[in-house]
Amino acid sequence: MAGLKKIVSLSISELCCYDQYFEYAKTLKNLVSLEKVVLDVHTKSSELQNFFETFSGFPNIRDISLSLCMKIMVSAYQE
Amino acid sequence: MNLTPNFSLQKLNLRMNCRHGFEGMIKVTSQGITQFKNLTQLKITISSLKLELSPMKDLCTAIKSLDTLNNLDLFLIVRELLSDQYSTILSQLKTLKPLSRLSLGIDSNFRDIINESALVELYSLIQAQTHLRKLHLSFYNNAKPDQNFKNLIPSTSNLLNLEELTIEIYGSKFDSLIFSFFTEAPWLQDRLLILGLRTIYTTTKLEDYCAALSPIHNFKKLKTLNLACIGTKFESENSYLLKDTLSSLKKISGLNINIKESFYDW
Repeated sequence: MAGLKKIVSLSISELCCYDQYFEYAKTLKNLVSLEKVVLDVHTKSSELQNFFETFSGFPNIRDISLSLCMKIMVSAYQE
Repeated sequence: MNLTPNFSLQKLNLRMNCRHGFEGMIKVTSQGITQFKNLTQLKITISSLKLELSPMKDLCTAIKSLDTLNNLDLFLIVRELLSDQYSTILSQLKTLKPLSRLSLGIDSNFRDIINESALVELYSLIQAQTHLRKLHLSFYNNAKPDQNFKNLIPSTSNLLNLEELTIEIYGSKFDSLIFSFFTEAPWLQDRLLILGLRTIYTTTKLEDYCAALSPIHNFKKLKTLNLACIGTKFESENSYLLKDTLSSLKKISGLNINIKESFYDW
């Protein structure tokens, strides 16, 4: 973890849901040197609010690049 | 939605693919960006099949509430964007706080998207930005400017601080004399330090393109000319014309010319 705290820039791609992102977010809050984050997330409108709420917990991040892709709701019969 | 304010974030690049759930996504995002109290640079790219005005108005209101914003990029990749809708969005942004950099891009299937009404809104938005130092305009696919552009260029001449202008045109055939509206404008010849002319995957007449480049000799302060002709097919019988035009421009003292080219090989 001590090594991780020196990370200045981080890119996380192909996050398939908010829950997966949330696990990362818990770690991101501890990365005190982190200034730049690139995120590529597939999400739903209902999850997006929770997603934005996590940003207040990042004390030093100055630069966020966020690629949001609306998740397609697949009905039961299609599955 | 009550969000705890964030004072650290300065730069936010949001790319939203809203093919599904456009309204919800834009509405939540609009609320989300207002938490960033020290945001100076905001880049928003919206990719969607259609556009709904109500959430877009919310987004414009949210952008306007960002007190520290200095740079704004807004690129709309909307297949079925209507001209009236684009005009409305531009009119919403007219009351933006003073910016130093503005970049507007549009990609649509509709050829008349930049009609006279949209142009009036576009120029009144730019005209209101009297502190603007950098302006970047991108027109993709059928959203191309036409001859109406010429009448509206002088209306932005009050941009006394403008130093950098980039015009980018992508897709199908276009009239490269449109570039001459910018290269021939005396107020731009007096002010610009950096000029960018970008053509991407398009076809145009070489004679017109070179005619549009010739007035660059009249620019008084120009330090950098960025030319990009990516996948561009030039229609001409005189294949040496571009080479001659560029050789002539390269003789301008103090001008640095960057050329990015990959010409279409038919």
